[in-house]
Amino acid sequence: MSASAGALKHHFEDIEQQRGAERLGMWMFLATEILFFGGIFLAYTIYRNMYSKDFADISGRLNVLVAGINTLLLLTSSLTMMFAIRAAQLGNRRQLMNCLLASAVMGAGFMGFKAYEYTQDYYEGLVPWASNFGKEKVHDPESKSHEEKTLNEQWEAKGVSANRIRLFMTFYFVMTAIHGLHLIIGIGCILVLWARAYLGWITPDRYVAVEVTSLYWHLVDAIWLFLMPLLYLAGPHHSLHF
Amino acid sequence: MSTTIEPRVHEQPEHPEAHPAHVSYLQDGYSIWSWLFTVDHKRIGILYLVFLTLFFAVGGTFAGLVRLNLISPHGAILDNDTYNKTFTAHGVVMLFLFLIPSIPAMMGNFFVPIMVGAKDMAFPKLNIASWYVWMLGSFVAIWALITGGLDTGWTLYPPYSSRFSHTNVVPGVFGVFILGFSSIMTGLNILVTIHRMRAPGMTWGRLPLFCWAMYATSLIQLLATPVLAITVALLGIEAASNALGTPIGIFDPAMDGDPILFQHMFWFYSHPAVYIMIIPGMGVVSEILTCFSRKNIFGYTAVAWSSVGIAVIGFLVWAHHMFVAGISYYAALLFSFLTMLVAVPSAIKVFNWTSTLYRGQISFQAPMIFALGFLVLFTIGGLTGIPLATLGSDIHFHDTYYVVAHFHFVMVGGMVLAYLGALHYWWPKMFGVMYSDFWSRIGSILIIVGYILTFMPQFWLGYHGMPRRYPNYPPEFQFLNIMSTAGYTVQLAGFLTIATYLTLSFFTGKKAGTNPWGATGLEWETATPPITHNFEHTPRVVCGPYEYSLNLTQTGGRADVR
Amino acid sequence: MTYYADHEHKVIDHPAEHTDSTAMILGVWLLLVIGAILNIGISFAGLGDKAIYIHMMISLVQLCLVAYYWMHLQRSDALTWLTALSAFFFMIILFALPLSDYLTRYRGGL
Repeated sequence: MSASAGALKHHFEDIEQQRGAERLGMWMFLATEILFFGGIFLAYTIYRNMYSKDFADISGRLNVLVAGINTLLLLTSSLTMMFAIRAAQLGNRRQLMNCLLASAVMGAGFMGFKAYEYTQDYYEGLVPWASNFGKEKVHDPESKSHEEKTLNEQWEAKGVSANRIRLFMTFYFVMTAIHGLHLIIGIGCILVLWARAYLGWITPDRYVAVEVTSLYWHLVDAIWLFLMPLLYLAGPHHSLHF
Repeated sequence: MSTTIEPRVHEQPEHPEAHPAHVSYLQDGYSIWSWLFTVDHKRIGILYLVFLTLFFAVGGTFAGLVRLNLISPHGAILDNDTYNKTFTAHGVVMLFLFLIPSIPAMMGNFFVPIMVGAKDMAFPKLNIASWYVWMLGSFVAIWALITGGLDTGWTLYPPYSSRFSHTNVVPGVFGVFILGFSSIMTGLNILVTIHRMRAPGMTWGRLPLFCWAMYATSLIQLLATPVLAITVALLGIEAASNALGTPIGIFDPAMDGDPILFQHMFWFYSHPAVYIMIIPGMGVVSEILTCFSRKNIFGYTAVAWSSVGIAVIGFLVWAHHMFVAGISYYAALLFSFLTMLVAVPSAIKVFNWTSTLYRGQISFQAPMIFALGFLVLFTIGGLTGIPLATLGSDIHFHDTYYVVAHFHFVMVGGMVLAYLGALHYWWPKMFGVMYSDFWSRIGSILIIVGYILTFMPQFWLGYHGMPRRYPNYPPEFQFLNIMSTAGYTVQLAGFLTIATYLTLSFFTGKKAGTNPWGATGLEWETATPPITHNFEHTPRVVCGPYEYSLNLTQTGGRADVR
Repeated sequence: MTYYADHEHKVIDHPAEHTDSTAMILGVWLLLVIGAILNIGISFAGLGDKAIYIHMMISLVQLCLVAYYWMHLQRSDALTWLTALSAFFFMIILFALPLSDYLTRYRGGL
């Protein structure tokens, strides 16, 4: 799309009709995302209701520090997206590019911490698909002794079912992975916008492109705001670390 | 007394769009690239039409194999495993590759922008993308069905599908997952188009009922399909994990999962999905009945809002597929009550259609034969749903041929007839040629007769306890099964007849005028076939869509100018 | 707002007519961060089973802030509100009706 062509597309009669259509289209797409995540949230809720003791136990041992950092990263990336819209509307190309880049970088930071978390989970024997599930010796925060037992032994001692823990961890990985996938797609969209801004194609009359991308980004952020407490705060915590 | 409308085929010079300055959409570029890279909603509709026809033939072939196998009480031509794969393939292809996209993606894409008076859909590139996604999903699904197949039934219930079945579950559900996106994209496009792109004067109260129906359908497509997506994704993850030897049990009771959870999530989509299939057909019936009885629709507001009512209430009834699965008694009561409610808006439509016919000037061309067939067969199908909604009788009927007959009555007797009716009604507008009137009447009657012969006996079979999806049955059921298979053959003759004269119409059909049926909708005011931008000048709408008694088109012209 | 060509009035485009104020953007961000810290803090308060309700309420407030201010629902037309609320309405159905099954099991029938 060349910069010299106006923002108005040929099948629309005027620019506000087009903008209204684009915003409405994005909101409708967001509705599908709400129902998509809603399905897996439902499944999680039902199992949490059925197996509250087991879920609380394992959730209380997840890394809340990383979860907190990730939450702050996402919230701040949404902040910079808001400034990006402002910059686009006012024609401030430099600020637009900087804000978009900041959002993308913070999103990437989120994924980086996620990758760190996933590896930690693997070493602690919490990946349901791995052969070492429950077999790693991990510190038990509730025990007074310094002896480390395997997770399977700890669960058996507490009367918690390894199968149900496996179910929780399956949901943990699937839900955060699907969320992460949406985040990666969002980062991709933001980088595309950054490239178009770099080429000077985001003139003020085309600011709606930034606005609809930010709508998507805010929804991914909002989903995390629900996902985090459901997964990480489902049980009582004793310390910020595992 | 009936007066036959003779479709006139020469153009009237006073029709404003009869001699457009631009070429028709069919002549606007002849290369294969101009078709594969089109963003014109009409060409996209035709792209869908080509493959819908192909997939219907594929699904119909699977149906034929099923019926042929059931001639003998012990399975005539297929072994049990292959039989399982065959009826699964029939279900998957017919539902996901034909019924769900049929009217929305073909006629919805083609006619909704024209009917609201717009130049194109709101998002033309999203439109062509939806076709490519549909193609991708279809090929993945068909590849899964052909190489190894799927033997779980189209309903894919775990833990059989995830743990015990050694068939192509993972690629099969991946195909379904992709197909869902195409459905969402089409629905989103139609919703935004109807909201934001109506021509001057086109208020909601003047929208054709086909648009109201497409709106309700798109609502369901948008909101229900994502839940199917997550459900099959979870099933796919479970099946893949089992296949790789690292089992996890999201729905597997052996690992503390709940198989009924899958059923809840699956049917949350799949019940509204059946309304995705039928509501567009109802919209088409409203269009055809009014035109061929030369009357305004009786109760426009009731019919319009009943589409939305079916869509909304349809979201609340899904567990009637699960009455004997193990849900709680109180939930079953709730869902039984809600299911009774959903019949009400459908019944409202049937009463209003009947009242529309009353004292109309009825003529019996092929579109009207299909629409009248729909009226009767859909009503029978709907009424037979009531014993299924009733808890006590459902215990007896669940998973028998009664259910099979019920849903085929509404889906084939309802939707397929409506699809064929729509095809016959709008054929001259889409292609500028008329098909043989005589043979079209023969074809439609053949389909209806064959159809009744196929599925009526199945009510008796189910009532007497023949289970569905079984490859064998007690010998006393053989006569009815053979009758059912004979009906398939008659239907096949009907479909071949239709395919023949419709194809011949391209070569020997008379050139159609702008308005061969003398109908009043905006689509009949475009050139035949329409130009790429639909209208030379933005239409200004001055009245409702069915002013036959006043002989007025929606822009105030004369309706019977052919 | 017209949805079709209105040839009498020439529309002149002012993209910067509706910018968000910096104060609003930062203010909402601050409230969201406070909410997040509160949320995590409460899980250390030892409330047990009931804590999840408080967590969900905080998250809900955060969602409302994001949707109303940052996603511009504040100045959106009725149709956008309808779209957003419909999505949540059907999500609630998605939760409520299956829960009506799970929460009433094991209570016996008639």
